Amino acid sequence: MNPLVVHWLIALSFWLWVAVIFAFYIGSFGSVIRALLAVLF
Amino acid sequence: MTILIAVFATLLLALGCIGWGSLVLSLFRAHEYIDDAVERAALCFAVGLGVVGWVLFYPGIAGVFRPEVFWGLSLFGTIALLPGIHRFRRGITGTGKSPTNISWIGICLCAALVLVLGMDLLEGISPPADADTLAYHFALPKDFVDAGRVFFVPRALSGAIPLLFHMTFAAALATGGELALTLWAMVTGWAAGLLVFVLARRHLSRDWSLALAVVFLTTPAVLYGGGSGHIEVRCAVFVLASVAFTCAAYRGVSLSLFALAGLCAGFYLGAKFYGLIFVGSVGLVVLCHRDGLRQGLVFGGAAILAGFQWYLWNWMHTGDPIFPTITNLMQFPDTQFWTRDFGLYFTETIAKGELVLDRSLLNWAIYPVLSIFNIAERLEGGRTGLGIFSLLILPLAVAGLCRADLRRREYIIPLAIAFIFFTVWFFSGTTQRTRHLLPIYPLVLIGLFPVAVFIAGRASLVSPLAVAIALTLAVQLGGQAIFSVNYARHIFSAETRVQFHVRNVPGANAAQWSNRQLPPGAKLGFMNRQLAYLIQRPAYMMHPHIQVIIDSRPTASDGRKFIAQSQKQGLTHFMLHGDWQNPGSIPEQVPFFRMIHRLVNMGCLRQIRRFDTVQINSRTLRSLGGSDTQTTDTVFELMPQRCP
Repeated sequence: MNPLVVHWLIALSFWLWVAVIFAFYIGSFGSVIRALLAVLF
Repeated sequence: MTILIAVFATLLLALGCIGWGSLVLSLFRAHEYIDDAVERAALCFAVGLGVVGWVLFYPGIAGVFRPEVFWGLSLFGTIALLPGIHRFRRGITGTGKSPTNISWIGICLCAALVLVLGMDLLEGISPPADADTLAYHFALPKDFVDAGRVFFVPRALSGAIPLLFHMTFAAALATGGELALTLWAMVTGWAAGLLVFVLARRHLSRDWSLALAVVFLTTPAVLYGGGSGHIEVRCAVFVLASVAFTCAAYRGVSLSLFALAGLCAGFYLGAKFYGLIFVGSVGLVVLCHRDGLRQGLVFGGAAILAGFQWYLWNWMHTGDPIFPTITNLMQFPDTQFWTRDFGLYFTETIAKGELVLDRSLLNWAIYPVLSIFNIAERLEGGRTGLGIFSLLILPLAVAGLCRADLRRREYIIPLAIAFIFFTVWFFSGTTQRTRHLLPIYPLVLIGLFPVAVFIAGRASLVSPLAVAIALTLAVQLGGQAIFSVNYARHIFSAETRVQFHVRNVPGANAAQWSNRQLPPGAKLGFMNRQLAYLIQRPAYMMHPHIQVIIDSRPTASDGRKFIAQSQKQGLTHFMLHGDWQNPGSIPEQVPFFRMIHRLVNMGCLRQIRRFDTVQINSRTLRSLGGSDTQTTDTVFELMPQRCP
C-alpha cells in the first residue's frame, strides 16, 4: 500500500481514538457537567 | 508573625530534608550517578523526607516529641546541605542540561503550571477540611505532638498503621502550627510532580517533560489528595525515587544504588501497608536480573531497615505486624484491642464497602476501563481517579514498545513494577478504590509517555498527541478550578477558621462548642471520625467499624456493656448523631440506636445540647449547587447513677 495512505490511516486512527476516548470520558462526568452548565447558564 | 514562622518552618523542613537526603546520597556515593542539579535536589528531597520520618520515630517513642527536636532536625539537615551546596548549582557538576530559549508552548505550559500551583496554594493556606485528613492524617500527629510522645492507637486502618510520613506532619505542626502543616502537605504533594518532571527530562525535552508534570499534578487523585493529608501522592515520591535508583543501579551496576533504592521502597513500606506490595514488586524485578540474588538481598535488607519500625510497633502492641490482617487470618485469641467476632464483622464490612468487583481475571483486565470511565462508580475512578491520559497515549506507547530500540530498561522497569503491583493489589482482597494506585501511576506515565512521544515524532503524530494533552489539561484544570472554589471562597472573604470548618465539616459546630463548654476533666466519646482533629479536649473515637474497645457496631445492643466500656475509657460525655428529642428521626431498626434510646429514656444519657449541622455529599460539587442533607448532632452527659 502507498506509504502516504498508511500514514494518513494511522494518523486518522489515532485522532479517532483520542476523540472517542475523550467523548466517553466527558460522558462519564455527565452529572458534573450538567451542574456546571446549570451554574454557567 | 504566625504566617512568617509557618513559612520559615516549612522552608527549613524542606531544606532539612534535602540536606539529610544529600548526606545519605554521599554516604552511598550516589551523587556521581546524577547529572542534573534539579534531579539531584528532587531525589535528595525524596530520600531526606523518608530519613526525617524514620528518625522521628525514635524521639516519638522515647517521649521527647518536642518542637526543639523538630527544629534541631530541620536545622541539622539544612546546615549539612551547605558544604555540598555546589552540587545543586546547575552546570557546575555533571552534564546538567543548560537552559535554552523558551518556546511559546513552554510559556503556555509554565503559565498552566503557575495556575496549578496557585490553586494548590489556595488549599495550602486554608485550614484542612478533608475527611480522612481530619480523622487521622492530621489528627494523629496533632495528638502525638500534644502528648509529647508517640503512643499506640488501637484502631484498624487509621490508627495501628505505618506512620512514617505522619512523623513529618508532626514536625511541620510542632514547628510552624497548622499553617505549616497544610503548607507542608502542599510542598510534599508538589515533590511527586517535580520527580515526574526530572525523570521524564532524562529522555524528553523540557516542554514534553513539563507537559507530563502538569498532567500529573492535575490528575484527579492528585488534586484530591495532594494538598490534604492523604499519603498516596507522597508515597509516589518514594516510589519514583526507588525506581530511579533501581534504573541507575543497572546503568552503573552499583550495589550501593540498590541499597538506596531499597531504602526508598522501605520508606513507602513505613508510610503505608501497600509498601509491602511495592517492595515485593521491585524485589521481584531485581531478582529476575542477572546477579539478582545478591542485588535482591541488598535491596531487601535496606527496605526492611527503612520500613520495619511501625510493623514492630504494631507487633509489640497487638502481636500482629499488619494489624488486624494476620489476627483475622490466623484467628488469634481475643484481646482488649480485637476479638474474633469483631474480626468477622470487620472483614464483612470491608468486603461490602471496598471490594466492588469480584477478583476474577476478567475484572482484573478491565479494571482500568471500569475506573477511568467511572463505570463502576464505587471504585471512585471519576473525581478521585487517575484521569484519561494514560489511555489516550496507550496506542502510541504500545506501538513504540513493539520496537526493539524503544524497549529500554528505563521504560520497562517502571512498567513491570506497576504491572506487578496492580496485579497483586487487585487479587489481594484489599480496597479496590482507584486512588490507592496513585503511588504507582507515575511509573506508568514515565514508562509510557517518552515512548509515545518518540513514536509520535517518528510517525508524524505530534499534533494529535499535543491535542490529547491539551484536552486532558483543559478538563483537569477545569476540575481543579471547581475544586479550588471552596478554598478561594475562604481566602478571599472574611471567613474565619471556625466558620470554614462549620461550612465544610459535619458536626464542627458541636466540636467547637465542646472545646469551649465541656467541664474540666470531661472526656468526650464521639462517632463522627472527622471531628478527631477539631476536638481539642480529651476524647475517644467510638468508630463503629474499626475499633472494638467501645463496641459501637450497628448491631451492638447491650447497654450495660456499652456503659462499662465507656467508663473504662473514662468517658463523661458523648456526641452522637441524630435528634434525640424527636425519636421519629432516629432509625429504630438499628439496634445500637435503640440501645442509646433506652439509655436516654433511663436518664443514663442526659441531653445537654443539640446542634443543627449538614451532611455534605461533596465539598467540591457544592459550588455547583450540590445538595446537602440537614442533620442534627446531640451532646450527652453520662449519668452513671442512672445507668444499667
